[in-house]
Amino acid sequence: MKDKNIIFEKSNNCISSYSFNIEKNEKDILNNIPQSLLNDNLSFMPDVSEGDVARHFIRLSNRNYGVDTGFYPLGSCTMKYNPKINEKVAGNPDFANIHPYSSTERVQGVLEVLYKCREALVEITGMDEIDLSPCAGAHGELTGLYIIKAYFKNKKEERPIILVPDSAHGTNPASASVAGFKVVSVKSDADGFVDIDDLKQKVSKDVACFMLTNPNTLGLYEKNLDQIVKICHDLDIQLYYDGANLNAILGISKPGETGFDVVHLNLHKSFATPHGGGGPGAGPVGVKKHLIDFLPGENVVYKNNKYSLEKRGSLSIGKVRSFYANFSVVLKSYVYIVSLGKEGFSKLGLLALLNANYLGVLLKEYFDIATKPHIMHEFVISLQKECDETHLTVMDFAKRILDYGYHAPTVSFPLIVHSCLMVEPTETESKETLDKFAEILIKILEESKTNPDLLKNSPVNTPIKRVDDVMAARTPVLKYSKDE
Amino acid sequence: MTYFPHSETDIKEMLSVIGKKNLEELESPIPAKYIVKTLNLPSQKTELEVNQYFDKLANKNKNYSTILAGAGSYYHYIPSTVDELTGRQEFYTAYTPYQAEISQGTLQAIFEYQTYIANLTGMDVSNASMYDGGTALAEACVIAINSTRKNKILVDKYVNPEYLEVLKTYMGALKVEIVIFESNPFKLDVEAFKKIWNAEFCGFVVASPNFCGSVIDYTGIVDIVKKDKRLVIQSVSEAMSLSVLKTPGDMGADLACGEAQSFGMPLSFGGPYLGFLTCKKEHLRKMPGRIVGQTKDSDGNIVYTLTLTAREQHIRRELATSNICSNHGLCATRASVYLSTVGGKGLRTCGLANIEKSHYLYEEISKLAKFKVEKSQIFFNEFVVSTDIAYDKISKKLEENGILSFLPLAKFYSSLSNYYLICATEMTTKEEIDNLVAILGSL
Repeated sequence: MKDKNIIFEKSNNCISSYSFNIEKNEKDILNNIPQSLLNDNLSFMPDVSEGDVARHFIRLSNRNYGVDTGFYPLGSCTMKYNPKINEKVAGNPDFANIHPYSSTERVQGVLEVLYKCREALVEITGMDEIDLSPCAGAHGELTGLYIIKAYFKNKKEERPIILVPDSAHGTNPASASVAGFKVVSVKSDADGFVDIDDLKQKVSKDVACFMLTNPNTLGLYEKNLDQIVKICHDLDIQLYYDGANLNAILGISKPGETGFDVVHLNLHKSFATPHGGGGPGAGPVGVKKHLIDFLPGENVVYKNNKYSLEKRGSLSIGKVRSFYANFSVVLKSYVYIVSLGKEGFSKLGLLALLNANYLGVLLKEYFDIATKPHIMHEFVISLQKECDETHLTVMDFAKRILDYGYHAPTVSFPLIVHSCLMVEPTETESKETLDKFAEILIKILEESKTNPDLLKNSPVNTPIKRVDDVMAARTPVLKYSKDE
Repeated sequence: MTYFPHSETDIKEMLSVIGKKNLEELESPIPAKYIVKTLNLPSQKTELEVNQYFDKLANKNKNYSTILAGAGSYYHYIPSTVDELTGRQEFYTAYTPYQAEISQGTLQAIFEYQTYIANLTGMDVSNASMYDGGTALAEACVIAINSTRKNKILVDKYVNPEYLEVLKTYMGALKVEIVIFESNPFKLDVEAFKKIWNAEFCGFVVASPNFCGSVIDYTGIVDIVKKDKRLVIQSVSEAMSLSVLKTPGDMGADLACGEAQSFGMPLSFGGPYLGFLTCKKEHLRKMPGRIVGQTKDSDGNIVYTLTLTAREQHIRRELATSNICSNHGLCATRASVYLSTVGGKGLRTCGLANIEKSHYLYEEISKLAKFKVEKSQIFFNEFVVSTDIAYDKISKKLEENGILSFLPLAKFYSSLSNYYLICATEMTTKEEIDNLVAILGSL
């Protein structure tokens, strides 16, 4: 089956093909390389006029939904507004056109941004040192776990196990696995907090690390955090802070002061850099003193009025990426930090809590809110009862939300709540937006009872109708082919 | 400058609905001893002040007027369409396309990216992007390890050293042994390969072009590796070379991975770039990360969605093929816009311009008495020069003239002291080349 709207179908050998100047002819230039190492042609590539390329991608953009389009309450994704000044600064050619192997003298501005951003993140997290190299949250997790692995190796201890709560993001166990650890799951209690008895049973000198998301994916602040810290630290088990939900405590509390040894941050969540439809983000890693020597790659230092990159010592885990950092992402987050300043950060977390709690209260008369007793920055709605009664799925509810012009909340996560929606409004949404969203959810609930087909057949107001995911997986078509 | 839409009245009303007296009561789940009064950060700034502050910082960078260096980060022209079109908020402020019905833009752009990259590398399948060339190589090696259940990998010495360092970090944690094939920077020695190769290796990683810029003919080892049912992985740190070079798939590779920064990503001090990973279809189920597939919607229209997710962390958790979640999606979209804009003819002429300019530079340098090029080197846009002139003397002169070039290979290979890496692309002008050669001639 052929998509007539794909760029490859628009190729018409137009007379205005894009080109670069060459002086000799193609054959003579290619004489520099043996024929056996050359390709025949690029016949699969389209040749489309620039105007048609522009229309092609504008059409695609019109079939996409961004934070500027509307409310994007994806739980644990912190889809806050991405300030325009961040993009503008990052686009400055004096930042954008810098080769990573430039001499230190020529990149003092870049290094100052990296140094100062790192200092600000140290202050915000309460950690002793931050490394900016990881490319994403999961990459930060992996880096953090490598650090912990190196720490125990240096102590000549074999610790093969990582503990992960059953409410954790999938990246936690996956990162542990990629870092060469075995994963053991820790149960949640009836409210969704870490089950302390289960934790006690599972800790031992074989455990390297306990990975926590706090507030957790239910939107709960761990009520027994002090006790968890003690249980772990008594055995030198390192406590890992998954920064996916940092927005809840940003400017309010520092993970470094509550007992965490390693932290990763998602600059594309809490620090307002755009998510780009899948990335790039940045996942800086923060550590306490005892782990600084194990940090990856290079360090930005300031000595004798000059910034420079210094290779870390022999205990370093080594590099986790090419070059130094996702520089433009770090830059955007630093613009955000400078913009907000201490006054902005003193309100940020509180307003994120206000919005989530307010929306939670608006909905709790109508829905089963699984987040009890205290909502932090997000909450989870269980639609188990509604689904059982109406034979609808939670996906039917989510798709109907799209019909009203919103992005749906996170669906079917965390795994410990069946048929759930996870809602995170963030601090950049107004009361009016939250009021309207609550109204719509309540309306959809009503529709589910009076006219369930509306949900089953949704969405209808979107650029396309319900997608057949089963067909996509059963007969994978993963690239365009002229012949099919 | 803050971005909170609330009025004081809103806050009061919202608090009263929640039943709280003030905002601080919302912190109650956090023990009081852990509450921070204020952060020790500078004060808030207006947008104008922010703009001025960062203009000043940007001015502290003194960019080169001529860049004749590559080494994994290539200075190419970015067509005007790339920033303009990917600057649409619908692309850059969107999340990972979980809700396909309102994410067709991202999904189709990625599907087109997959098509471009799979074809340029001669493979059946591309994923939706990796972080960069280094992590893409590490993930490719994980595929080879998992499909052969062998814990050793043979890696050519002249794979980009940044990638090699990343690979060491990843493999070290998995207790996989990396054995370096002590090859030649200009040519793969099949006899030497035969001596070191055995079926205990999960595969062989070859770079072409390699870190010295050499295009490597590795077809002579493909059968040796395949006879043992092991994998050939080609790492490509300069994707622009695919505009003219035989595809990794046609060369005989099972997996291709590398860096596609050249397709529309600015230098940006090394990131974010665009890692790519492609494979023959038998390795599809072991691929890491997001993959977009074609399907239909309930009206029968052809549409796109994330697919084969049973490989991924959010479904398989510790059994996933990788931990990658966020990738470099917008960079992949940029590559789609780049490749769609330049099209077949643009990409081809760009590749030819790279060959033409770099070979002109090579010829001109070869005429200098104190500098030597390697006569046998086959290259795309980057090559090796040697000289007995001290590095300090060269670098001082080039710095004075605002030229970034002559990356010392001694930094990476002890055997290559007095050897330097030089690159020219379509951006390079004849004047820049003549100027560099004149400066070198005066040393």
